Amino acid sequence: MSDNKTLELPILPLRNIVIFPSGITPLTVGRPMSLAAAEAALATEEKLLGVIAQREDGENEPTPDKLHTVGTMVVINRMMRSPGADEALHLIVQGQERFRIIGFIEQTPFLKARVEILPEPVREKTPEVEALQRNIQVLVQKALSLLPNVPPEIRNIIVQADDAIRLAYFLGSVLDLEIAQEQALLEANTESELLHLMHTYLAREVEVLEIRSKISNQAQEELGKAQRDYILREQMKQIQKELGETEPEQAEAQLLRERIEKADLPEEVRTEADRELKRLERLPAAAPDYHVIRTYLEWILDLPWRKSTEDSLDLNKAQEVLDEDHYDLKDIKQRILEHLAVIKLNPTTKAPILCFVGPPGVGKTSLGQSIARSMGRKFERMSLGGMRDEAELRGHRRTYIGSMPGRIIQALRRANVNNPVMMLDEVDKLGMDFRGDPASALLEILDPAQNFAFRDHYLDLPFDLSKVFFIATANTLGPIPPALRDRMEVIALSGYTEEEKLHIAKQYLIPRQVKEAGLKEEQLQFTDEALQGIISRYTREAGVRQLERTIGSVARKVALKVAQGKGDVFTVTPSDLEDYLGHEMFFHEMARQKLPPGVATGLAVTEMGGEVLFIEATLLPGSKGLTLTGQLGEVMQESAKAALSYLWSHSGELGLDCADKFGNSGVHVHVPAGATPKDGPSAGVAIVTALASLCSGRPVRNDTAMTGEITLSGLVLPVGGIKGKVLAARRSGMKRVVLPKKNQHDLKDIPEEALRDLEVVFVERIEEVLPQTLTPASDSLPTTGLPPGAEASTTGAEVRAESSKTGS
Amino acid sequence: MSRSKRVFIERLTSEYHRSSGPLWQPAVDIYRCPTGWKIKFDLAGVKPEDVEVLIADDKLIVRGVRRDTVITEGWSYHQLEITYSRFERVLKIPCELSSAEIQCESRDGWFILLLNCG
Repeated sequence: MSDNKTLELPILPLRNIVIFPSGITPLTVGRPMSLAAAEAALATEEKLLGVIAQREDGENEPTPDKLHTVGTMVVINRMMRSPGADEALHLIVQGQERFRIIGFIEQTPFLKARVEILPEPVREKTPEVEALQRNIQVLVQKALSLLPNVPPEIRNIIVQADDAIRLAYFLGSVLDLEIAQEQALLEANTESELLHLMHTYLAREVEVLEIRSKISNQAQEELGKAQRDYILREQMKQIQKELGETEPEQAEAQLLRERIEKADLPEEVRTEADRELKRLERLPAAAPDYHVIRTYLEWILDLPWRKSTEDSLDLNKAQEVLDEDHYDLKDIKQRILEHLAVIKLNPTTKAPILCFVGPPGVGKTSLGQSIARSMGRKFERMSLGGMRDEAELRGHRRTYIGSMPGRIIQALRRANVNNPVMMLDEVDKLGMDFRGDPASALLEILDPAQNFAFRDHYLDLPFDLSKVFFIATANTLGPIPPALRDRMEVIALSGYTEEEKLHIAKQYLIPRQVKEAGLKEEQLQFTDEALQGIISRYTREAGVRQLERTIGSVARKVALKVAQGKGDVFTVTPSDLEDYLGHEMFFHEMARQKLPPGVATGLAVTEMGGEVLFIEATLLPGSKGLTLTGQLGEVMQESAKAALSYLWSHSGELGLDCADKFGNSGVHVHVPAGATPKDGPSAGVAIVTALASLCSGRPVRNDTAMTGEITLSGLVLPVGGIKGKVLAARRSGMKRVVLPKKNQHDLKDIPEEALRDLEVVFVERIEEVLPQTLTPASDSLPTTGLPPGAEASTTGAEVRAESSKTGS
Repeated sequence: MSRSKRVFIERLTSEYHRSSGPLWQPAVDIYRCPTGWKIKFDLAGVKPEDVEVLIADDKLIVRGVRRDTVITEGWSYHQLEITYSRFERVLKIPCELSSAEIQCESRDGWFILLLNCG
């Protein structure tokens, strides 16, 4: 034992706490043993008490072996009894000195022990202790910066504390340490040991504080922006309130309410609008739904639910308007007038749904405008070309972000009436693939039995489309699905004849282009011959667009001359054309001057109107079978095989030695232009003629064009597009056309002047075709063995003189 | 059991004499009088023989023990507010302490020191 002071002390076991020397601590004493120890201490003159931490918290009446051996001697500074019935004592004790238990003297009714007072930890002046002290100061500063609510006096004490041991004891009581750690601090006998422990605990504490502050900072940042926005918005609201302005969203809702009151809405629409408006009023402007609902309501309010224009029912005036805008097109004008007459007699009649089919430039679109003008209706046009999403027509449901009504509803809003003439352009060019099928959406829109309650996905309200005058346009009927075609009244606009083009040019195109070029009407004149020259040699089209451009080009060149002062009045004659327009641009599809054996002139229909095409056949000695080239479709290939088979099998009856030739060599049939795909059965007659010419060696007459489907038994069946084909034949300078007999009735569609110089031959069987198309046998002999077309076989004039007319 | 940090701090900040440990400090009045200084300590209940007066360089140290002489066998405390046990007070007086004449007096619970140092 050392020479330290010893004395006897009542011992108070402590749970959960270690009291350090110089610390002032309030204690509540409740356990009977502790109460007895406290009472015993109070009964002494100096009020001294020993306090020792228990090794385990759970122990209620700890025996000496459950206590640590080092404790603190304290003076009881204050004592109070609880006001209540319980026996608890409230003490305030001040730590004095550390002690070590030498031995227990009593264990009942309280612990009493003989203790040895321990001196303060030995102060050392080593560099290690100095370093520890400074480090602890740094850590304490850091901890203070991380703790927001440290009272300034604590700050001062810590910063100014000059005694490292006192500071360590102080920190030990302040920091959130475990009992074992605090006890270790208390038991430290040297300064360096004490500071080492303190440094470890403090470093850990600082780390925990840092992590905690980092976490709370992150949460703060995330919350911060939303909170800031909210606060600013609320402030703005308050400011507006102070200024006497109503809240903007309420003002907006009020405005919408007034508009709904004023608008003439159907009942179902009105109910829906009211419901949405109520939702809107409950939402703050910041809510994403707010704008969705507002846009929706604006759409409802902007639509012409019950607004319509009045039709002008003056039939004479309507006729005038139609004639003013378009030449000819009698069928269509007639149809419009009929409809106006029906409306006059039965105002509730449904609008018709027309479909104009024809090549580009024949005036389908402008006809729509003209119809609208003649009926006094508004005109809305939308192009369906390339559209491939059904939602474009019918809209997206409102749940999607950025959803909008479809094009139909949009067009109605633009028109602002519910009975416009609505033109659906290029209906044959609707996309149809895995991405969607807008044609099916059109089925509903164009069905008079359904479209009185058309539901756009966006609006989800029935809109009456039955008053809308729909006009679809298409270049060909082919790509239009049958169900859709069935809903429309198809009106074909085939190409114009040269005479018609001449009229159109004189009546519409020249005045328009002259005006466009800034000239006066009398300053530029065209002779009819010059116009015909432009039509036949500088343009090649079914419509008149190219013609109009060419006339415009002449007009501009004249305008240049006028502006340069080179003259004032110009008349364009055929001889001037080369000056104005350069060389002739189209001549190749004109009748070939000479046809070698195996080449025939066929007729086809394209999107550009009728077209002349040549069928070329040649023998391939030493080869076998039939070769077909020129991008021929399946139907056309089969047609060629049928032609070959027919000639082969009927070779004897026809007086041709086809069987020999086809038996010994292969046949190649080519149809220029090779890059353009072709299909259809109508070239059958031309192919048969070409092959017959090939094996007989007799060239085909170069002034004769032909069309018609053939069968293996030799029948010639009717085909479509007769008008276009005949016009094309005439345009190409043909003098005769061979047509199936069953197409006879189609001739009445063709203007008389177009047939004036044309001999039409009707045939029923292939045997009738060949005499009409092949040159007589004697003429062909000299050409044998020469290159194709090397020598003239016949001229058109000679052939006509010899030919006899069959059919009607 | 909670810890009172504030009380603890007061102890640390007040002037203390390091070697004597954390002891309680009696309150003091100091008078300037024609002959020198009169220092009055609030030391009721402290026997004069339990008070020790020391002079270390320029410091005047008064220390001692207050004992509870009233409590008797069989009694128990109901309330305790007076601090007992050891006390110590260290004062710096602007006078030459080493040559000063010091007198003590105990009266009415006061402990009074008289310093004659001109």
